[in-house]
This record gives sequence, structure tokens and C-alpha cells, in this order.
Amino acid sequence: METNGSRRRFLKSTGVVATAGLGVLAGCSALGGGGDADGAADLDVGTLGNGEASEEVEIDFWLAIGAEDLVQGIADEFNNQSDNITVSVSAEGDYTEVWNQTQQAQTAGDPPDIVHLNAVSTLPAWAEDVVIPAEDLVGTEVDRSSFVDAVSGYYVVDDTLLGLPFGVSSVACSYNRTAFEEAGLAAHPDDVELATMDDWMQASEAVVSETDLEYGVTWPEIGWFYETYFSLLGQNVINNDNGRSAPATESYFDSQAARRVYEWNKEMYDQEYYQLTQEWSDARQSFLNQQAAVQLDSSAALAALSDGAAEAGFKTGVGQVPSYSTDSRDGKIIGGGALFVPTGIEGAELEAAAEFMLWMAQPEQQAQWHMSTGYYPARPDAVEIAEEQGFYEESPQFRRAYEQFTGRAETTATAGAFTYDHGELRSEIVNGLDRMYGGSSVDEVLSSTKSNIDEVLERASSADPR
Amino acid sequence: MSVPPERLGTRLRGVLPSLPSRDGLVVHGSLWLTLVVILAPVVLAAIFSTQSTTQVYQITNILPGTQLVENYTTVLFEYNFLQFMTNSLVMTTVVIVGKLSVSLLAATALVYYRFPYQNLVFYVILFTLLMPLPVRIVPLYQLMAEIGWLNTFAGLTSPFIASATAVFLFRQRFRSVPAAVVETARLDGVGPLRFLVYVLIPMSKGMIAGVSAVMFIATWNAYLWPLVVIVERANQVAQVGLRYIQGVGSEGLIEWNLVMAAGVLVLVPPLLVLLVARKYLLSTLASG
Amino acid sequence: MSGANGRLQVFTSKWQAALLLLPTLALITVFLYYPFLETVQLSFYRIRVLGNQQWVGLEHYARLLESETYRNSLVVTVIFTVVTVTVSLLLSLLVSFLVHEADSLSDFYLIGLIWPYAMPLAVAGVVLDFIINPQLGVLTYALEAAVGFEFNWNTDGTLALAAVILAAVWQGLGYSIIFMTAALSQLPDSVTEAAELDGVSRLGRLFRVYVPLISPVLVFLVVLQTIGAFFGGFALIDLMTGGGPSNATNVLMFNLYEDAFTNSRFGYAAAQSVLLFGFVAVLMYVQLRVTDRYAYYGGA
Repeated sequence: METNGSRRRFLKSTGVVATAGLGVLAGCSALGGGGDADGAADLDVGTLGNGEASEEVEIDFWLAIGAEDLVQGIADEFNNQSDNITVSVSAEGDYTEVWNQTQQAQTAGDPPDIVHLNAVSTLPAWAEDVVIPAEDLVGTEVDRSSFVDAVSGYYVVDDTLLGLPFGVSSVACSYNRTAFEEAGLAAHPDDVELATMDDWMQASEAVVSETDLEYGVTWPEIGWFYETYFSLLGQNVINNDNGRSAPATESYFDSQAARRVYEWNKEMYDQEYYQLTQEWSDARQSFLNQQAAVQLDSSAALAALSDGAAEAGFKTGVGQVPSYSTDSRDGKIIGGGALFVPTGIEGAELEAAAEFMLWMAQPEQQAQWHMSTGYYPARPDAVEIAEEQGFYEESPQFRRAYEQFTGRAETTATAGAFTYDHGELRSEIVNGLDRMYGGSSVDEVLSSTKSNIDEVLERASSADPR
Repeated sequence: MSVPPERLGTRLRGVLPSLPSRDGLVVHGSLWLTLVVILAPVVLAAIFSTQSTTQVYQITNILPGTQLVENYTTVLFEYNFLQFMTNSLVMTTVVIVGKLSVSLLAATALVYYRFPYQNLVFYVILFTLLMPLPVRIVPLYQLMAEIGWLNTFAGLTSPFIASATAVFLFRQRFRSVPAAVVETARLDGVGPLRFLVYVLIPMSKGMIAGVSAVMFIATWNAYLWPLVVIVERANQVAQVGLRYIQGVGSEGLIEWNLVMAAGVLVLVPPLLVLLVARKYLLSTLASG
Repeated sequence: MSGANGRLQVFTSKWQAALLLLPTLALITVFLYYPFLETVQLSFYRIRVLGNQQWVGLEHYARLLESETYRNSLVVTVIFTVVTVTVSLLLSLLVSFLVHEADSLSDFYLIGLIWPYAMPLAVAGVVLDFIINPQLGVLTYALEAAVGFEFNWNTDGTLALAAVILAAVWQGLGYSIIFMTAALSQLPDSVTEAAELDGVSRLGRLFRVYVPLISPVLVFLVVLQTIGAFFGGFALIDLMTGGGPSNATNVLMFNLYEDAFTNSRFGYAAAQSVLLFGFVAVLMYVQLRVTDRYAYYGGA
């Protein structure tokens, strides 16, 4: 195997390395594993598991969210039932940081065995051979159709599943039930009116005038929320089917939908109904300190928020992310991340990483993760497990959020934008919002955001090998 | 360069010129005020570092809290600052020792030898002042990747070791050694290394101490290069550790009491160096 | 070499000299000259993953010239540099003057004033990020309570730049004070006495008598601080504003870092490094010219 070659060649020849690695796993002689990486997809884990499994293997798992202890807890269960594999979890920052650090570690020749990345990295990960496709690793053991379509679709490029979904989320709305009651608003989750932008405006008005709360609503200034507004309105963010049929060349910030979102947003801000918060933590603090009555957050934070609210002495409910009208609700894009194995992992480590990934993808683990956070399970059978355990009777808000998410229309708009430089697209959205809150008009903001994102797309398409 | 008094710092506006020039009270009062302003942020940080998370979120609460020991223990052990600080200390030590050694050797050659292109060699060294890290960071990073030094101590320290400034300072110092001393050494048949170790270094103790102190502060405070070259958090230095502990909050509540405790911890070593080596440090800076 | 130095040149072995110089020369070749030259080369390539590069010629430079983001970064850097250096030097001058005027305790004051020199920028960054935090900061709160001013630097670009400058000035004071107090303490007493006999006011003495006399040190500081501010401030911006809001604090160095290490545009970032080198070269040239011109001023 090419271990002494320059890293340059190493990265270029990933396909061969991956195949060769699997060849070893499958008990074939090294380098005997045929020509291309697709061939490896025929391997199944049954064969993998039968290799010489006696040697101790340590697996490094880089997590892109803070829940290090929680995930290590799940990993420890795996460690206990495994003879020779020890998985250790370390939180290495956010998705962007884990993505960058992974490439650096590869360049340094010592990548971690499993990394937690989000869909922003899917296309560059595929284009630059940063990861070994999950499908090649676990082969037929994992049936793509056992995942919720929306979820697996997020991590498929060129008809190959790259990573195994872990911790799927969408934007979810929590509201302060106690404050809603006080403001004379319908407060029960079945009746609450938070479906449209007008609903949000009216609820804010009532909260601000009738209660001690300073603001109606808040959400952190993060691009993902705006992509969700677009998808709810059935609007693609970028052209060429949201970049899915071909590299996009243009963004839709000149659309009617974009105008509706931004005008509403500016009005909410100018009326001081919307409290501008920067980070996830700022918005959560505002909601829990009862400054704002409604908060948009990742569904992953649902559990933490309802616990926090109980501690602060108020009740919460799950509302809806606003759309323009009740009959135009296409659905929400997803967030969260998936587990990937970086190229450069080989031999016993690759085998162990595949085994752990497979284990994590099982309904039991997915259900456990779902119940302890608010991340959706990537597969419906995990929901059944949670159901059997009576989880939704105790916490109906989780079911509500999950149903809002799975009940969506499957369109290119809800599939979300797909581009090589998705992170830069998101930061241009935020830059535009900054200008709007700084006093620029909606017209100026939309046109500058469009031209900036179009520039990002132009550069992204030159890097996009599709 | 005459600045109208009304444009001077607000603290002094209207106070200084209106009072008698010999009034020590004004001078001392202004100085005390300045001291308070300059010290206030770190004093507040130190106070906040003793508070609980609840206390630190009560904006007007600026009384010492009850969690001094817990906070610092949490920062050192749970947030890995013991490891980060150790990494910083090792990096700093390696850089100082390396820098002193190679610069002293180079300065010896430049001052006590006669060889062709001597001036050119000196200018080649001096010209590197034009190449701060930002103008070569991408290839330097690529180089570290190619030789397998990303995420290693070698990668962290090696770019800092060569130093035009240190060579320059030692060259100045050596040139001021009296010719008689050198002549005596030569007559005694002392070799260059013995001359360096037994004559030059003892004669330059003050400057070596000063250069070391300046280098300690500069290296300890380095932020950009460690951020770039270190991949795994466990290998990181204390400065970038501050970034981590501040960033933890993006998931939930930022525990500002812990962030402040970390800030105080990271501030202590260079501050001690400044206080202990103040005399040498000041005279070294003055001679540059 | 000069005659004075010539008398010191007691060793003649060329290979010994070469050996002594070898470590320094090897290190600067590998870690300074080579990467520096390589920067120029990389700037002609598109590199999204290290080791995989396509020739694009001058495309990156053309893009930089057109890029509004880059032009904005240049403007922000210049504002940051000019304001930081001006405010910092003016304050240091006044404070150093006060120390000079103080008839006692000057050592005590000096320590109390120069310690920020040892403070890491990252510490200055995180401490101020909290103390002047728009929502939680005790100083912001006091400011709002006292004069009703909302120091909302999270959303207002100008205020964000002001916040970063505040941190930079705070951390940079010590360094200038070290040099200025040293220069002031070397002035002969006769200068002060003469000025007092002429009835020059205290501030007049500072600006009309002392400042011209210590101008070589001041010029040195202006140049040094300018170069420092031009390339520095990275940790502050990384920890306090992340370049925002809407790029209002996105200085050249931060933009370069983001392009290289967040957005993986290594070639494009290399082109920015080359332009940065142009800026250093100009600043250094100015330094040499200006220092030359002022070198004989006042005989210092």
C-alpha cells in the first residue's frame, strides 16, 4: 500500500487506498481489491467482522457539538459490548472547525477515525476525497431506504451515501406558554397561532404590551434560519434546482419570497418585537431569562430548553416556524450532522470505525440520542422504540416537532441548497442582515446579498467537479 | 505637533492647565486615575473569576464570589488549561533556548570573524524583518504538512527560533566589548566557543536576561501560529485555549466566570516575567 | 567592516564562521525565505485542498483588485491602524509626562502603567469581551446608566471597530510608555528649568519643549506601532467580533486567515500575503526614510 508516497499523491489516489484498505479487511491480499472504490460496496460487515479481531483498536471520534459526555456515554455502551474496540469521543469545536481540522489532520498524516460533519461539507468532502463513502464501508448492511428520505438525501452525492446520519435537526419554535396565557393569547400547543408571519407579529404585539417581557421573539443571527424561511415558502435559495442538478450560478434573493421574509424581519426588528441575538447561546439566554416569548432554535435544543424553562418557572410549548400563509408551508430543511470516516484510515482501524458507525446507525442508539436531546432519529423505526417506551406521552413536544419535520413536501426547496462553498453562502446572509439592522433598506440588503452570494457561487462552481 | 488642550484625553480635559503647575496633587491624582482605569478590567475579571455562573450573570454584582477554588479547578482540569499552560511553557522554553543559542553563535561570527560577504550575510538576516508571519503563513503551513510537523511541538516552535532582532541586539552588545578584552583572549589562545561561553556570555548577562524576558512575553502571547499549526485540542497552547473556553458557550450558556478565570491564569506567567525581569527588560528594549 | 569592529575580528577561520552562522542561516532559509518565495508561487494557483493545485495565473490578483470585501478590509485596517496608533501614542505621551512630573513614587506608577505590555492580546480580548459586553458588561451597564449611551457594538459596525480599538489601545499602552518615560528621563534638568524661567505652562512645556527633544523616539514608536497595528489585532478580532458585524472589523489579516483556514482558498490567501508584503515593504521604507530624517533632530 502507498504509505510512503507523498501526501499529494495519497490524497489524489484516495479511491485506490480505500479499496485497498477494504481488500485487507475482507481477507483478500493487499492491493487485490479491484480497481475502483465502488467495488468495495459489495463487501458486507458480516465479512468485515470476521477478520482477525483480537488486536486492540482505539477509535478517535471528533464530535462537532458540545455534548461530549452524552455521546461518550453512548460510545461506552459500544465499548462494553466490543471485545477489542475502544471509542473515545472528543469535542473539537463546531462543524466548520471539525471540517477544517479533519483536513489538517489528514495533511498531517494522522486523521481521526470518525468525524462529525454537517451537510455544508458534503460536496467538498466528496469532491476532494476527504471521506470514504459510508456506503463503501458498511455496504449492504445499511439500507439507505431505512432512513427517512430527507435525511439520507442530504448526504448523498453522485448516488453514493457518504456519511451515516447522526443527530438530525430542523429549526424548531419554542414559546413561553405562561407568557402567552398572561398576554391573553391561545396558549395550548393545539391552539397556538404561530403559523404565519402575521401570527408572529400579532403574538409579539400582545406579549410586549400585555406582559413584562421585553420582546416578542428572538432567534440567533444564523443563515440556516433564513434558508428554512425560504424552504417554508417553497423557494429555492439558488438556481439549478437549489444546486442539485448542476452547480448553481445565481441566488434567489431577488425573489418575492425573499422580499417577504426580509420585509417582515425588518418590520419585526423596527417595532422591537424581534430581539436580535448573535449566537445560539444568546437566543437561549434571552428565552430562558424571559426577555423574549418565542424562540427559534435547533430542535436539538428542545430538551435543554424545556428543562431550563421548568427551572426558571415557566412552561413551554412547541409552535411553528412562520411562513407567509397557512397554505404555503412546504416544509423545513434539515440540519444536524452525520458521521464520516476520513480517507487515510485503513486496516484494523477502518474495520473498527465501520463497526462503530454501523452500531450508531441502529434504531436503539438513534432512539436513545433522540430522547436525550431532541435531535430527530434518522430512521422511523427509532421513533417506534421511543413510542414503545412511552417517551412521547411524557414529552409530546418532541413528537410535534418531528411530525412537522417529516410531514414536509419533498421538493428541491426543502432538500436545501447544495453548493461547494455553503459556509460562505451562509456568512453572506448574515453579513446582509448586519447591514439591515445597521439601517440599510431591504432593497439594498437583498441586492447586495444577492450579488455577494452570486460571487460565492461563481467561485464555488469553478471548484465543483460535477 | 502642538495639540490644543481641549483635544487631549478626556480624563485630563480642563484639569491640568487650570491648576498651578507645581501642584503635585494634580499629577498624582491623574496618575492614580490612570492606574485605576488601566487596572480595572483585570481586577474585575479577577473578581468575576471567583463568582458562580448565576452571580456572574447579575450585571451589577461586582463582589467577590464563593467559587474561587471550584472555578480555577474546573478551568485547569475540566477545560484542560493545565495541559494548555504546560504546552505554552514548553513551547516558550524551547523557543527561548533555541533563539539564544543560534543568535549568540551568529553574532559571534558576525563580530569576531573576518570573512567574505560579511555585510551581505548580516543584511540577509536583517531582511527577514520584512517577512512577518502573515506574509508566509500559507506556504509555512503547507511546509509543516509536507514534513509531517503539523500538530507537533517541532512545528509549533521551529518558525520562531531564527531571530533577526536577537542577532542584531547581540551584535550591538558584542561590538561594544572593549578591544583589550578581546586582545587578551586572543593572546591567551582562547577558541571561539570558550571565548563565547567564558567571556562574552558573562559580559552580556543583562542583555541575555532582557532578550529572554522579551522573547518569553512574545512567544507566550503567540496566537495565530498555534491556532493554525495545532490540529488536536489536547496539543494546543493556552492562548488558543481561551478561544475554546469562550466558544463552548455557542452551545449554551457561556460561563463567563470560567472564561475570566482562564484569562487570569494565562495572564499570570508573562506578568511575573515582566515584574521579575523588569530591569533587564527595560534596558534591552531601550537599546533596540 | 568598520575600523572599530576590525580590531575585534580576532578569528579568521572562514569555516568556523560558516559553522557558527549555519543554524541561523539554515533556519531563515527554511522557515523565512523559502515560504516567502513560495507564497508568490502559490498565489498563481487555485488550491482548495493542499497538494491539489491548478494554475490560474493572475486571476487572484484581478479578483482582489475588484473585490469589495478586500477593499473594505483595507479601509478597515487603515482606520484601525491610524486610530489605534494616534490614540495610543497620545495617551502614552500624557501618561509618561505625568510620571516624569511626579516627584515621588515614579517607580510604582511605572510598574502599574507598563504591565499591559505583558498582557496577551487574547486575554485583553476575552476580558473586554465580557466587561464591555452589550448585554452583560458591567462597564456598558454603567455607561448606559450614567449617560444613557448604549454601547451596542454587537450590531453597530463603527462601535465594533471602536471596541476592538479600545482593547488594542489598552494592551498597547505599556510598550509606548516604556520608551517614552525612558526618553523623558534622559532629558537634562536644565531644559525644564529654562522652560520654567520662561513661564511656559506645563502642557506647553510638554508639547513645545519635550516633544521636539524626544521626537526620534516618538517617530520610532509611530512606525513600530503602525506596523504592529497593521498586522496585529488578529486575536482581538477573532475573539471579540469575528470580523463582523458585516465585515466592519474584518482587517486584512483576519480576511486572509479566514480565506486560507476557514474557506480553504489557499492560493487566494497567498495572493493576499503577497500584497501584505507590499504594504510591509512600504511601511519599512517609510520607517527608514523618516528615521533618517529625524536622526539628527535634537542631537539624540
